[in-house]
Amino acid sequence: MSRLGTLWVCLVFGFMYLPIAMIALFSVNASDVMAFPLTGVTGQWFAEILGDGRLGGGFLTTLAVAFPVALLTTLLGAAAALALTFYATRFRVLFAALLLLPFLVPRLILAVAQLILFKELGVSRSLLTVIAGQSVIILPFTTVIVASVLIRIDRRLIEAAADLGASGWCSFRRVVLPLMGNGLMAAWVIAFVLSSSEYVLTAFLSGRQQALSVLVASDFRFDLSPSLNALAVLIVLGNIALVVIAEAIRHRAGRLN
Amino acid sequence: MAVAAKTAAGRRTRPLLEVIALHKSYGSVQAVRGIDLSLANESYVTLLGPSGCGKTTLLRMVGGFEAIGSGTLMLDGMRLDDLPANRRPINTVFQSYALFPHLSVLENVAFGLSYRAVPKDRIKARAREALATVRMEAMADRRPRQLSGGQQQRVALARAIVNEPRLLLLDEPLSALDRRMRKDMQIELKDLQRRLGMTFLHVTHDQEEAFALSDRIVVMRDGRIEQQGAPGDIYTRPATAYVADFIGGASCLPGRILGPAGKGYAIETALGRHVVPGVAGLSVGARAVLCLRSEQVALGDTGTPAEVTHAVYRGADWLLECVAGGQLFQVAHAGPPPAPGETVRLSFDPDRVWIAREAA
Amino acid sequence: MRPQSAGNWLALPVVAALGALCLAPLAILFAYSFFSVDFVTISHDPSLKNYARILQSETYRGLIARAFGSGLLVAAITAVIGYPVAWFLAKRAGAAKTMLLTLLLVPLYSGDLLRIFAWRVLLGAEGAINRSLIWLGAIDAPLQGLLFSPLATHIALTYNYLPFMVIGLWLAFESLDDAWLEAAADLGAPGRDRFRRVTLPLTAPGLIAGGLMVFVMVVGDYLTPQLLGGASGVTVISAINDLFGTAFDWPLGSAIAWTMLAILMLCFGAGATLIRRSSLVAEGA
Repeated sequence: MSRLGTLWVCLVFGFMYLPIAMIALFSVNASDVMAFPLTGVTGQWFAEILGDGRLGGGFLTTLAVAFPVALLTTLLGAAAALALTFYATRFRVLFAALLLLPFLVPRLILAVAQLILFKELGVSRSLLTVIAGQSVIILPFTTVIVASVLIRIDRRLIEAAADLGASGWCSFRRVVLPLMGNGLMAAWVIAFVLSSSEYVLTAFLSGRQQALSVLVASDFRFDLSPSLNALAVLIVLGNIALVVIAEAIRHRAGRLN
Repeated sequence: MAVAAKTAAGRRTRPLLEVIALHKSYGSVQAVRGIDLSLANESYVTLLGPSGCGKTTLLRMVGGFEAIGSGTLMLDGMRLDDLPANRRPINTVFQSYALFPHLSVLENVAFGLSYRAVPKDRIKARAREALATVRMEAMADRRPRQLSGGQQQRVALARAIVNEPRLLLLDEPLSALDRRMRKDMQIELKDLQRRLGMTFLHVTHDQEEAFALSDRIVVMRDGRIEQQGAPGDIYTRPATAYVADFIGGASCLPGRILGPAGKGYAIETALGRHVVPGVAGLSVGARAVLCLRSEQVALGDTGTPAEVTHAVYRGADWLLECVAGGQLFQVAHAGPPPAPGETVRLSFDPDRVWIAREAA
Repeated sequence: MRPQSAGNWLALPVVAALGALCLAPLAILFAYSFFSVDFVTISHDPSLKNYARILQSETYRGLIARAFGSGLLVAAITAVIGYPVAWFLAKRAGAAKTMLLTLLLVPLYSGDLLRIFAWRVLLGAEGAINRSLIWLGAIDAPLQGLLFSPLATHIALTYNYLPFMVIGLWLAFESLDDAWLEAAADLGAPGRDRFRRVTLPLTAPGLIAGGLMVFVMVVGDYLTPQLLGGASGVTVISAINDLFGTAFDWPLGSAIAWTMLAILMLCFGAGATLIRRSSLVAEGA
């Protein structure tokens, strides 16, 4: 039973990593054709990507969106998580349902709905509209991450702080905040990653300045160049590094509590 | 409820359960190291010991939840070793009860009957009968989590006994209950075992519980059996200092055997020589302990001088802690207690105390 | 600051943000669904015309049905694949659990686009699988059905959303006490029955939760069918996109979007009720 399970888990994880492994393989393969047999090793595709000024500009745009989105969603997510766990409001169930809504609504529907709203309000598309749009769909994720840290904090700690004379604000600042710090960092990193890889909302809501994901999408709709592999590898590696850092932070939070 | 018919001859000659040279280790940790044990039919046997002594591991091997390391298990003369849990005529009351949360009380109790040769239309009636024996028939349609701890305990009991197992295992079944409830359930368990004529093997770390329930107590320590016997034997004639201390918290005064004398031995201790009965087989010069229980020591005008360090009120009497010759003694004292710091004189009746081995 | 009022103050900015950027847009979309297009302007006379059109149009009904069919199919496939994985993670992985869970989530964060790109590299006529098969001599000509087909779409959808199913099931397996399985064995149930009568009902909430997540995301997925489905890539979501773009019929697009939302919310509500009921069983409240 266990051995069969191990085999199955290996197969499934193989399936999960097959596409990524394939991209990595072809990103250093010295041939225009992405197919076996492999012909040799080259750094050509990476050089091409790193020398591409248009993609470089897109990357900067992505950063210009991802930093504020990560900050905004971490703050809002922390507020939401606190309201769901430690300082539960009376409307908790309703509030949780509202938080789930952006996750439930298909991205494209949300994107066109926001587009109509912005049009009705006379707001033209810009990086600000992208930031606003992305924040809504990333908020549920940061909320869950911060909440997952908060629910492991013993609620009696607040009572203990109150017993020792701390006011509500004081107990928050000196007890809750230090304990949730790791959760906030993890949420920020994950939000950053989700923002940089988001395509639908970015494409619909951005104006003239185009983020990396939009540029990549238009590239690969037209031709499948091996240099896209190199780009994908760079993005995936960057994301993996960030996610691993975030998970490490979150688990450190778990151990501390 | 009738226990499955057995030939009278088979019953008398052969123990119900035989555990032979049983071992079990997890990695480098030896949980059970060489246990030989036999259980008589229709007896109530308790495995008693502190946590980590291997009693639960032993029980789980009998139940079939843990593969045996080496050795043999026999039930009614049949080898159990490779029989999976679902095919052993043994049922278990689990420590956390393990009632199925998605089934009603009645469905929980009926669960096992679907694997017995019970006609479909009789299953519900049989389950209700079992619930009635534990006075839970009114709760048949509730979910387990809607019940109190004591009620869950009864349902778990009904769920096990309805299958009329040859042997019922109970894994610390009362540990989650409060003290009062525990006392009541002890009486009910014993009563149920007598009425059903079933064999119960019960694991506990609570010596009071073991005394209240058992025909036979098996004291375990570090994966081995330290001593087994009737509760009275274990209490009045502990084999080792460990048993004397674990059961009833006797004060153990170390000493050396001078030789056989009277009904027991002469022993030399820090508090003088005494002639006291003791375990068989102690040789001259052997190290041994003189076991003194709090009720066996009295304050008097003569005897060993000792200093009172604490006095704890117990309702019926006081428990005094006294130090004499560097050794701590506990004394049950009925009258008003002497103040801490006062010097008293301790005496005991040499025929009522006991000499035990220093170690197994 | 009392906890209750602190909670309300904390929730306020979140509710404001979600109200402005999620509820308000959806409300406007709802309003638009009752308007109609008059040549190139939008007429604001409310009517149910758009919804009537959806009901009468075989195309739209078919697209909606197909979207929900895909959702169910992928939910079922991920459930079958994910169930043993979740069991293994919760009950057998031991110290490797944290690492395996992280590993499971990492591909998620590379973004839809890159994952789809990778499948295109794998599945295309000139792609890795075809070329490799030809190189190995297994086939003479590339298999055309691999890319730009419902097969490609569903492989990638399964790949995209499997982690969500595994997480949902894993949580259910974590709260499945081994003592229940031991009790079932103790009472005489053989392995198959222990699964059917204990494991399956007690992990059902996770199955429903995971299935619901996968279902909702598959129904709402725009990119995957678009970029991998070829001719089959026309979905109800891409139809909405067309109506807001080239076809310029925002009201009809809004009406289809709201039809989808209504059905999704119904499914979600039904699923949530089912989970609540089964966890009521577990909590006994």
